[in-house]
Parts: sequence; structure tokens; C-alpha cells
Amino acid sequence: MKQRQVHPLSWILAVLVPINLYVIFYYAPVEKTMGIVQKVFYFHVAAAWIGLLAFCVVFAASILYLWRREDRINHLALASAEIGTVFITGTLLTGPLWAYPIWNTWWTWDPRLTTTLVLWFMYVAYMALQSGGVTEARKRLAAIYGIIAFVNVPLVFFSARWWRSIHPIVVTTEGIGLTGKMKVALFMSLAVFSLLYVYLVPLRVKSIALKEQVRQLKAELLR
Amino acid sequence: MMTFLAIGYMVIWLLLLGYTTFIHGQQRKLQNEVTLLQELVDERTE
Repeated sequence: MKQRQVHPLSWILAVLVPINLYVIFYYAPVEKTMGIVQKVFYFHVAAAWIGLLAFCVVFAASILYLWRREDRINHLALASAEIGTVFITGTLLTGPLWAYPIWNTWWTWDPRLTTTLVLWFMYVAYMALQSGGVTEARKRLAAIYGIIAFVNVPLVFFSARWWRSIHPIVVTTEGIGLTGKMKVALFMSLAVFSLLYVYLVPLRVKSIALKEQVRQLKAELLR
Repeated sequence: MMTFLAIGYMVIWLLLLGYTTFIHGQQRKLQNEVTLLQELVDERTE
């Protein structure tokens, strides 16, 4: 019987995720002003970090695709866009959970929130562009779109700094506005989410490549 | 409240686990489909 191989990263994640949850809820102290609702921050920031990182990968892969025209690079861009969108969805969903008790509203058209929502829509459009039977021209167009859409990534990051925003800025030029134990929880969350991204990308790349192979074989059979 | 948040976090992680399981399942299905289609293509060329 064929034995299924388990990726070593999945074991590492299986150990790290419960430790991360323990660090967030029991090791890191409860914030004095906001209370325990601040614990949302550790997921919210880590998910946003992966979202933005994933879109940086889309940008780099899109440039590389236009240069090399290799399908595997296009698959990497698409996989990264998908994973980035999943994590930005997490950011957009956890934000209101924190905002309601703190701002007394689920949503406000703040620059940071608005640019993030626009970012989400842009990458949903990117995935739509890459869906279905993708031709060479469509792939090139998607790569150009992947480069243009990236403009929004620094806008999301700097929006709270450049424009009048009520969104908190934790990382400033003067340092990180967190206590030592909170920093441990934040950095651990960032590390766990980064590992998750590293685990998910090759998985999705393989799925996309297989889908493409199925499409090509079907076309060959119909010929 | 702390328990609710902890449960919420666990639910999110379970959803992510579900997402990876879904990808694995989809990959297995696609792999089988590729094998089958490849056989058909080979039969046709023979």
C-alpha cells in the first residue's frame, strides 16, 4: 500500500500553533486599556504581514514571468495571490472584531481600512483574470496586472502614516509600542504564519500545475 | 471572554487546517485524473 508522506513543516506547525496560542493567551499580558480584545492583534497583524508578503511575491514573480515566460513562475504568482487573499480576508474579518469594542463601530472608511479593502478586491480580480482556460496572452496580462496591483501594497502600509487615520501604528521609527512579553507573542505569531505561508505555497503551486496538466491532456484527447 | 477568544482562535486555526486538507484532497484527485488521462492519451497514440 502506498504510504502518504507528511511534510516536515506540517509537524513543526502542529507543535508551534498550540504553543503560539498559549503564548498569546497566557504568556503575553492583558493590555491595560483595551483588555483582552487586544489579543486579536496577534492574529490580525500576522495575517496582514503574510498578505502583504504574498503580494510582494506576486509582484516579483510577475516581473520574472514577463522576462522568462515560464509557466511555473506564473503558477507561483497565482498561488501566492490566492494565499495572500485568504490571509487579507482574515485581516479584514478580525479587524472589525477589535474595532467594535474599541471604536464602537465595525467598520469606518479610514485610509488603512479602505486601502486594504481595495487591495483585497484587486487580488480577487487578479485571480479571476487567471481562472479558467488561461492563454499565453492572458498570462502576460495577469503578470502586468500583478505588477500594477502591487502599487497598493506600500499604500496600505503607509496609509496610516501618510493620511489622517485612527488605525493604531504599533511599529514606528522609535520602536515597537509593546511590552517584552507582547513582543514575544507578536514575533512568534509572525514566525508561525510565515512558516504556514512557506508550507502552503508549494502545495498550491503543485495543485495549479496539476490542473493545467489536466486541461492540456483533455485538450489533447479532444483533438 | 478570554475563553471565547481562545475558542475563536482555535476555530480560525481549524479553518486553516480545513483549507490545507482541502488542498491535499484536491491534489490527490487531480493526480488521479492526470494518471487516467495520460493512460487514455497513451492508448490513443498506440
